[in-house]
Amino acid sequence: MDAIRRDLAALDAIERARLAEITARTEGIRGNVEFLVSMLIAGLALLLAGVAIVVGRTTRQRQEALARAEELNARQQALFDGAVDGMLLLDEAGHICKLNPSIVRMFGYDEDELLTRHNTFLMAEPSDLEVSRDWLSRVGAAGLQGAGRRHEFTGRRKDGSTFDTEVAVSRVADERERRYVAAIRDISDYKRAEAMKSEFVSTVSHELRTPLTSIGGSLGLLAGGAVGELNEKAARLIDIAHKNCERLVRLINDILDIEKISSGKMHFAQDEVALEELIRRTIAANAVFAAAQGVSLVAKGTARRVEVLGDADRLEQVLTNLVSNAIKHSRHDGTVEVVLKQSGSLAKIEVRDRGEGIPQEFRQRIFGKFAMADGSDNRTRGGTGLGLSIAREIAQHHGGTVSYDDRPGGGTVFWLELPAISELVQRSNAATDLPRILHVDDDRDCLSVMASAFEDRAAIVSLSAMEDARSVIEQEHFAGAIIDVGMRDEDGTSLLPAIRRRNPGLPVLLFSARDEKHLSAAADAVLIKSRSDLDEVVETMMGLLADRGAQA
Amino acid sequence: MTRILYVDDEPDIREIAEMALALDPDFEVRTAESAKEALAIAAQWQPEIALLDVMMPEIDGPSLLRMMRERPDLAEIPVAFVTARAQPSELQNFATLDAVGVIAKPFDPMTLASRVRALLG
Repeated sequence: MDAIRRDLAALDAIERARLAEITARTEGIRGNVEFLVSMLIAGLALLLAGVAIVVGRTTRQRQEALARAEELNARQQALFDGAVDGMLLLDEAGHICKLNPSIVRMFGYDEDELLTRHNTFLMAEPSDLEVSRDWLSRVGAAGLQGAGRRHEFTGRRKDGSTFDTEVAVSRVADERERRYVAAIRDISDYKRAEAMKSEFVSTVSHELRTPLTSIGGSLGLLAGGAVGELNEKAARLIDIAHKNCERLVRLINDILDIEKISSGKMHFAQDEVALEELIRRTIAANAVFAAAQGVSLVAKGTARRVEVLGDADRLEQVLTNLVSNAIKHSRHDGTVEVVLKQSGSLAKIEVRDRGEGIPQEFRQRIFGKFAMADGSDNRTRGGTGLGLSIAREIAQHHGGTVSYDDRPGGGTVFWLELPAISELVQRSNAATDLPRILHVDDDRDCLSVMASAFEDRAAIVSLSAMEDARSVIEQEHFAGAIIDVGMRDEDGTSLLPAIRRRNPGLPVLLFSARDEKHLSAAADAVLIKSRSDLDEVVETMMGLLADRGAQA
Repeated sequence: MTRILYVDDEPDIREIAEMALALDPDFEVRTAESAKEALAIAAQWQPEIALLDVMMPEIDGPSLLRMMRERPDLAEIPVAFVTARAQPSELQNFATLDAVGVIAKPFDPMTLASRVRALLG
């Protein structure tokens, strides 16, 4: 019994101990939970406080923002209403939603007569309607990048009279629906003034040239000895008068050119101009002047043919300006080099002198009008100070530019850079009975030696750019193709699918720098640049053509 | 002798041109101050070339050329324009109608004769 009691007591003790342990553990957990809960409550409270602060601040900010927006709105409204330009708010289709008093003043309509009308109601020509629609949609498509695009329209007033306007349209940014603001400016006074200025300059130039013809003619005949020998002093005086008369003529010509360029009236022919030929002509035209200054003119790099699209006379004017400047600034016994270069799609003519270089303080305004390094310089050298400004403008009209660099070792290099006509246009113009073979290689030297290797056996269309090659493949017929594999930007074999699509049986020869097994599967012949010479390329290609001819 | 008719309303320029052209000993030069006078001289004298000023009062150079082309006795006479209206660089654009050439004013009097000689072919 005692034993049972003892056991029970022991069990009880164990049970108690376990209970105590469980209780203690539960207590611990409860403590933990309570701690966690209180922490959570504290966190929540903090969060709530934070939220309250944020909400409070946001509300304040919103109120401020609203106030600012209202202020901005009022300001914009004031700008809109007070603008000297006529302002229209247009909906997506171009109907007038809002207009300012300047519109009423400019066009003579009341506000009610214009609201909900289409904006083209204010334009004179029916064609303007198309232009306007097209334009609006383009501004829309361009998004905000299209903001402020300008266009000239002829406006029509209520009384039927018309006037020139310039319109700038911007898309309105932050609205759910797409809208536009159009600012309309009456530019008829400006246009009239421009036309008058043009006419004035042209008339004055003509009126000045007429008496100069008589003065220059008389002096020219005297200086040329047409009426007998003059004594030394008289000859000197006549020479001075004659030189200055010629300078005045140059000045008039330059001013006319400037005026024509600025009014957009200078006409530029669009011919293929061979630059090596242009250099030859310019050097010939300046030979006398160079000889008089004791300067020799040397052409370099003109063995190759480089063509640009443009106006040969105007380009000669540019180059003559650069060459004559270089002569003027060269020392006696100096040399002026005219160097033709081509890099990629850009043609470049450099005019290098060993003169004193361009003074630091002159560099800022060298391309400005009436720019001369210093007055005394000009008097001895007879320039007008307009030449470089004209040269640069003409170059820009050709999509190029004129600029300069210091020449290492002293002197200056002035250069004219122009976009060269791609070989695509040049070569395919030549009519020929020979089989036409496309040659694509990014190495221009390789292109040119290949073309001469085929000389009278095939006409080679040489291309260095993959895009050109792709378009030629789509547009023209060839008897065969020679393709370089490892080009800088792209693998030449990527042209093969296009070639095969267009003409599945076209013989293709891959001319590769690397020996790669997979190439032979893709082409009719593979030759490795280091192992095969050009003759082998020619014979292989001509062999492929002959096979194809025999099959046909 | 090669007969050359120079037409210009400016008397000074006529005189200079006459002297400049006379530097070629083979040239015989006559001048006219208007289109009307030019037509009369041309009909009677039959020059081998006529040099016409472009800007003249009443009948200008291009109109004079058209009038000459309409007359059977003058239709074959080669004509060149002399103009103060064009830039040296745009003379080609100016070579309208069937003129054989265009000379810009001011011209170089010492080379005028040889330029006309070149136009005669």
